[in-house]
Amino acid sequence: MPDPADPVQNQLAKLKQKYAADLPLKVARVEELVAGFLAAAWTEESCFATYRQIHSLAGSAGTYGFSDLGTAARAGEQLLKRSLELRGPLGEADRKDLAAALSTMKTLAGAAAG
Amino acid sequence: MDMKALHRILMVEDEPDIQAVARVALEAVGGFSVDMCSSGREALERVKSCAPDLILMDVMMPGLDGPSTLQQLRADPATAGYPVIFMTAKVQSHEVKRYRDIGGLGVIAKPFDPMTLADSVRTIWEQEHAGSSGSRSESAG
Repeated sequence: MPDPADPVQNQLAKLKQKYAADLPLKVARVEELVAGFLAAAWTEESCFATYRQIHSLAGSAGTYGFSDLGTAARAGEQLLKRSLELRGPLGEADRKDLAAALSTMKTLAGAAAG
Repeated sequence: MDMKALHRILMVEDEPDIQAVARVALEAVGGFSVDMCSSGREALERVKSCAPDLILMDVMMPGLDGPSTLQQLRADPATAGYPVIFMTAKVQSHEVKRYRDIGGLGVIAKPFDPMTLADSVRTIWEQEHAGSSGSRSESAG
């Protein structure tokens, strides 16, 4: 629990609060990119853009203390990384895992935003 | 032996959310002076004017990534000597070794704890300047 009298803790708490409020929108952006990536023919550009977006969210969520959301995003990131490495679309099982990761992220983002 | 003081840090990070929390972590918690850049390209331009003691650089950035930015810094005699610490989620041993091999002073893991980031930076800096062999390091952040 941050000490309200500590100016540094206060600054961090305010940043966290703002980040939490923005989380549903951030996850929605990732969802949109993933949907576009899965719907179209595989391209490295689209895969990398989607990978980058989810990678950023994984990193920032962890840093702001939303470690479960960061872990779910990291799981999605790994799937997209594999797609990049194999230079091809995700298989059915990976698509389901990606959808599951996104669903978890969405639930956690909603809870964080209150 | 007097250790070179660490005061001014140039942070290179494309993600605004990370920039915001890192600034608090380094300035308010760590007492450093921080200049912020959003890309490797911007860092190459800014480094000469802000003359940092240290560059803290994200690895994965759009355009010029961290390792490529370091390579370009090293290629210019005017910027070749600036020490760089990388920040990355990729901290498997072979990845850390690669960042050290290309000239990174050390690696700080992402995600990081805002309350301990400055300590992690200071630890890597002090290890390097204490001159201990094999001192290049990885920190949990």
